[in-house]
Amino acid sequence: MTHHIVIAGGGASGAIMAANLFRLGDGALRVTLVEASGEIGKGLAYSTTNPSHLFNVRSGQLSAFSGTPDHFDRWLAIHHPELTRNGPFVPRGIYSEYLEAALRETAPVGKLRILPQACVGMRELEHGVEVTLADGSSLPAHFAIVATGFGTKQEGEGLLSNPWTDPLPEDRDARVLIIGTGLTMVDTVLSLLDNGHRGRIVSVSRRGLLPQRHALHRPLQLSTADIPLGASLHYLCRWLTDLVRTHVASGGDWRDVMDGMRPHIQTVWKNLPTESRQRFLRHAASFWDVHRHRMPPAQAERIDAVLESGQLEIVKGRFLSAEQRGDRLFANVMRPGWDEPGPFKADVIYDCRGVRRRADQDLPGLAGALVESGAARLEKLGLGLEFDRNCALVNMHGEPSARIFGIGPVTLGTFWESIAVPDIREQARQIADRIASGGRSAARGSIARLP
Amino acid sequence: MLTMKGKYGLKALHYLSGIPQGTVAQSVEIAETYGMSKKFLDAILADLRNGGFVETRKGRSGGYRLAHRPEEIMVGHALRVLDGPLAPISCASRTAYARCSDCADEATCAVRLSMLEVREAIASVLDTKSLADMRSMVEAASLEQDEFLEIS
Repeated sequence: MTHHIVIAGGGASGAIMAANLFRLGDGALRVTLVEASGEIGKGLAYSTTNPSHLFNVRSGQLSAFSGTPDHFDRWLAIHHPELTRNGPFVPRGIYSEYLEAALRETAPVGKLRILPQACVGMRELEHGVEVTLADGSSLPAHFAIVATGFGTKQEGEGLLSNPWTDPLPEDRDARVLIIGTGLTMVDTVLSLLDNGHRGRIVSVSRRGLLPQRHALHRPLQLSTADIPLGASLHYLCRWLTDLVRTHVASGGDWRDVMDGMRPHIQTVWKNLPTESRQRFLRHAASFWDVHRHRMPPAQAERIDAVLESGQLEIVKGRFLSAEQRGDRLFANVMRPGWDEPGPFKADVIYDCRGVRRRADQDLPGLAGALVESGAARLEKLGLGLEFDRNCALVNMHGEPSARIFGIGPVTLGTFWESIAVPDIREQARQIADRIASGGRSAARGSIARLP
Repeated sequence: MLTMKGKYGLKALHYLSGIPQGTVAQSVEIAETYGMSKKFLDAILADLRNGGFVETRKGRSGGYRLAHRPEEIMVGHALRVLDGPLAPISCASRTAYARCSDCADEATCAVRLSMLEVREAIASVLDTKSLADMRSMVEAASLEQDEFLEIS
């Protein structure tokens, strides 16, 4: 039987999903990628065309297929040999080109359709899924996959500019304020510098933590049997810092420990008690992020240079609001130790607060509609929709769907570590296997499958 | 390796999983039930509290209770807090690693390689067995014993 599968969202997650369906399916399936922009692989992460915006992982980890880990490297060597000379961190802008090539390679002629539309709803029926589109029409499908990314609003909020979509300031001496000190801030500063910006740039976040930089290292071989699963966050943090301390004392690098933890993060998150997850988000996530998501050395060197020259300044403080007086913008920032917020003068304010959903943001688009219709519900922390361990969407009654799945950042709240290519392609493999077996979940209980 | 501490800790958790919800148990009653030293048990309960598996209530009517429902606490998770990494032999763990004194080459040691597999098997059993599962095992076993007594 020919299965028809609809994927909502044509960013990297959706494209990796489609390529894995074709590669792992029985060849009889049809896939419709619903993507409003009509462009494939150009979601939040990979729409940039600036060559200074690099992947924050090495090219060896970017294959779209778990089973063929060198797929991306081989493509890179043929199509962009010049990029491989600058080390393992290559520009992100080429990823959509790679994903298109991966789709051309895997999709039989006429089996992949790209629909330049927005998907606004999904309803599970007895034998399939009814997918509704923004123009009011609907698509019948056997299975549907939500690949809508982080689901935060793309447009700038009010007076704040969006670093990915809004133009750079024409005035090279403009005073720029950036809210956030993470990797999006790094990319934004590099864009400004590439544009010849001379003015001062101030970057503000609550803890003022800058991402750490990548360095050569050897990941520690950890097993789940080593890691204190199910313990409180307090205990887990102490265990991790103790492990780093003893490892560094014996001549290792802290990155060895971080990358040794990498394959186990989903298991750790799954077993972390809810109140510990909340504490993690409140107190530890920003420390975790700067060690987990690191800057490629080339970027770190440029950031160091502007920090040294004083053009870039990192300030600790909590952004409250922005207001306009005349043609100047003012950001109200609560600095540590201050009783009331102080205004920060700026010509442009970029919102680089990162991609995770905040509790005060509403859930836009498809994800919001699915919650409203009861086909989905928010997971406990409100980071995103809830899925079961096999990526099946969980409805308002807590039951996993047999036909609707989720992949990529939309599953962040359930898995925490589901926003990078190695995790996304593994999810794609799981979902593709499940669909190939007619939607039945894989056999449980065998020792090999347990975490 | 299951130490005395791990064994007593699991027994204490088993005891706490059996007390009515909303109540607490004092360490002296747990210690008496299993014939342990109270001092040792207090140290064990302090570790379990540190790991987030039990909570204490202070004062005259104070005592210990589970921090989560018995279905949510896995035996393997509590055991890591009590005894460290799950490993049948100390060279089979990265984090609590200790080399055998008589070891020539651990990379090709037949015993160590086998024990690395054993630890995964231990984890897969104990990480899916909750305190509630443990309780029903005990109930099933005592039921069987009762039947046996009736027949004989």
